[in-house]
Order: sequence, then structure tokens, then C-alpha cells
Amino acid sequence: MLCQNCRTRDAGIHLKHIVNGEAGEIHLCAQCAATLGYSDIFSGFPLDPFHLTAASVQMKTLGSRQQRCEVCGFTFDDIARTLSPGCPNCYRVFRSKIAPAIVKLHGRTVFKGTPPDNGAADSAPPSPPKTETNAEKAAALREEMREAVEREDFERAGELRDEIRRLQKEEE
Amino acid sequence: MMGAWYWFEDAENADPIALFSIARRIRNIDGLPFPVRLKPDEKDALNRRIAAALSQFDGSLTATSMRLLYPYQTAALAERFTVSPGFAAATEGTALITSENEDLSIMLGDEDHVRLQAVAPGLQPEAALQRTAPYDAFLNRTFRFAFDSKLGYLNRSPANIGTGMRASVVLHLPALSRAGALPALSSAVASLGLSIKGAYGDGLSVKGDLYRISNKLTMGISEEEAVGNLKSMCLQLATKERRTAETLAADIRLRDRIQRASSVLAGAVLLTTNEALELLSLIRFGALYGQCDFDLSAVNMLLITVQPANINCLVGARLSASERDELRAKLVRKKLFPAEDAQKE
Repeated sequence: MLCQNCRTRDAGIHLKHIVNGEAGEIHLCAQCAATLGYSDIFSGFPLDPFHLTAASVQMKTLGSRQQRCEVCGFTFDDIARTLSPGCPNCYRVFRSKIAPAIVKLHGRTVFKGTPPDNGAADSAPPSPPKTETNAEKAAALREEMREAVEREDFERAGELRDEIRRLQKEEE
Repeated sequence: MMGAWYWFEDAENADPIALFSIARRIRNIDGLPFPVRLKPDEKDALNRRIAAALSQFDGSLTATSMRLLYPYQTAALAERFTVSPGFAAATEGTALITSENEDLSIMLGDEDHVRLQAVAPGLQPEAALQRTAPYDAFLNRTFRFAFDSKLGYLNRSPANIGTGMRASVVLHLPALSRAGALPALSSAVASLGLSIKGAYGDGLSVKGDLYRISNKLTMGISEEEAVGNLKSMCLQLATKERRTAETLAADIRLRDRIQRASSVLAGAVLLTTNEALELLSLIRFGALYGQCDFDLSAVNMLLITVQPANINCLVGARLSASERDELRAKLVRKKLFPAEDAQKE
């Protein structure tokens, strides 16, 4: 496949993106990706073109599983879209995804300052909602459903859909 | 305004090179979305809760909803470094809590829930940092700041996590500036995890030869180390400034410019901000090297108060540019040439 920007080099980078709810795909060569700014999807989270493919795959799987921050409801896609975490707890939920950006910014990821004087080392996120287990179950089932659809096992997918609905009703 | 006493009117601690030091602690309350994701009324409610708690802790503090201020008042707060330019530009859901002389300011509801700031005259970033400590501890006890043992304080921008501490010092570097030595020094500054930029405006242009040196890193470094690096860099720059100044001071063209600056300040009927800052920088240099006689603390104060919004504050109204220029010239005469000024009146 040719790069859709220069139409001369091979497209080595394939990006899936969602803008205002509409999904699209971009195919670029490494040079064009760099010049068009796709090597820096969001400020503070710089990625080089070589890692971009892996990152987009990672973000795609994340998106489908819809791992959400239990405090503010942000997904990692939301963080990428708004260029910042939605609440302090997002750092805990998406720790490993945010870590590369922190290394890039600070050159290190370890806190060395004075902790707050409340005795405890970490402040716990206040009372996570008790529906968390249901939400987790539903997320796992959704992933399973997606796989079922992919292998065209629609019967199983239907069962899973009903199960997810049941869980969601229970939550309400 | 002239009756009030601001931190920058402190005449005792005037330093030849370091005008003042600022330290800021950036904090967010755990379990709440960052302000940008709160509705204006939710932000107002949170700001009110924080302000109410703080007034119990320290009754001398004053709280203001930024919405209630005129634009020139907000701009004046940024000009005198009481709030950051970003905070001054925010339009809704922000509140400001200050001490009487504005050496302590607590910015609420901008990018982060809480930004605690203190200013100290001269080269004292550690004193400024210390000033905010009791308020930081109190607010943490009351609201529980978001903290993680590995990532430190969890703030909106990943650039501000870790200690969430930003310290800076404003230096007057007329000699290094004239010698064109600063671009070469900026890499040395960067190697210590610091940055240097113009103290006024957007930081891109330099006015009055005033530079702001700040720490950039907040991870893998303690507050004390960061402040220590900042201080030692400022001391190095001060030494270089003095050395360069000693060679420059003999230059007859510079001596001429200093004397001219002094005459213009004494006689001008209209003074723009940029001209005033440029001339004040020259006479400050002259005063340090025995070429003219001015009170350093008066010059330091003018370097802040000649800015446009602070001139508006003198009369409590938004003036036209030429009205401001006239008032600025009067203010400068009154502060630098009190005897001549009294004769004229």
C-alpha cells in the first residue's frame, strides 16, 4: 500500500482514529507521519513513528475493552483526545500507558519529593463504586463478544449480548 | 492602591541582582475530576468550600471570585506576579485567595484545583516555598490531595506531577543582556533542569533586562534539590553578571545612556511601559555601580508598578494609553525624585 500523503513510498504506518464518533484510517510512510505530526499524537505523550503501529494497536484493543477510570469514567482514548487525564485517579488506572510520556518529559519516573504529611504513603481513591465487579465482568464479556463476532459465531455473541444487558440492568 | 502595602514594597531585602523568588505548589483533590471537567457552578461550589476552610485556618486571608474583578484588575494581579498569566486569562470558575500584602496567593479552579504560591524578596526561593507549607498541609488534611508514592502529586499536566513544585527567581541582568551572553548560558541553565526566559509578558521578549529562571523537572528530584539547583544557578549568573558589569561600567557610551535615562525619567511628561522599563533598567544598573544615586527598592517597586494595568489600578479605572503614560511619568517622578517633584506641585 502506498502512503496516502506522498503516494511514492510504502505506507508502513496504519492509524485508526475516531474523530467526533466517526472512525477512519490513515496510511502513511514514516517520513510523512513525522512531517504531518503523527509522531506526536498528543503533547506530552510523544511516540516515534516506529512505535506508532504498536501504540495504535494497543490503543485499539484498549478502546474495545473500554477500560475506564472508576472516578471520572475516562478511557485512555479520552486522555489521548483531550490531551490530559480526566482526574488524578486516571494516573493510577492508566499508569503503564502514561509512564512513557513521563519518562520523556522528566527523564525519570520516580517521585523523590516530600510526601503529604497524612501518615499514609498513598491516598486511596475514595470509595470505588461497588458496581465495579459488574462493570469489569461486562467489559470482559464485551471483549469475548467481539471475538465471537469476529469468528462469526453469532449465536454465542447473542448470548453474550444478553448477559451484558442483564449485568447492566442489575447495575441500574 | 498606594495606601496598601505590597510584598514588593519591602525596602529592607532589596538584592542587587535577584528581585524576588516565587514558589508554587500544584495540588488536586483526590476523587474529583480536574477543573476543566467540572461545570462552572461545580467549580464555584468547590472554590467556596476551599475558601471557607482556609478562612477558618487563617482569618487574615481574603477570597475573591475572579469573575467579580474588572479585566484590568485581573491583569494587574498577573503583572505583579500574584497570579500566573494563565490564571488571569481563565474566564469562569476561578477564585483567588490572598494574604494582605499578596505575598501568598492561592489560585483555585484553573488547570488544577489548587495552586499555592508565595513570593519572597531577593534570592529566597526556599523561604517562598516554606511560606506555603502550612497551607499545603492544612488543605491536604481537610481535602486529601491526590498522591501516589511512585508518581507523587497527581496533577493535570504530566509535566507537573511528582513534587508539583515550581520555583523561580526573577533576576535583573543588564550587563549579561547587553553583552549578548545569555543565549550561550541557557544550555548551562538547561543542564540543571532549569529554564530561562523573559520575566514579563509571554516570556519570549525581554523587557527591562528582567529574566525568570525556573525549575522544569518535578520527578526524580526533591523540592530541596530543585530549589538548591535553582539557587546555585542564580548565584552563578549573579557572579557572571557582576564580572561583566565591571568591564561594561567603564564604557563611556553606557555611562552616557545611564545619565540620559536619569534625565528622561526626571523630566518626561509621557512614558510608555516599554520605555519606562528600559530606562529603569539603565538607572538600576547605574545605581549599582555608583554612576547615579537611586534607592534600589524604589526602582524595584517601579519595575512592577509601571505596567499598564497597575497604572489603571492607581485611579481604579481603565485609562487610555496616553492617560496612562502621563500617570506613569508622574509616578516615576514621585518615587525617584521626591524633592523635585514636591517643588513642582
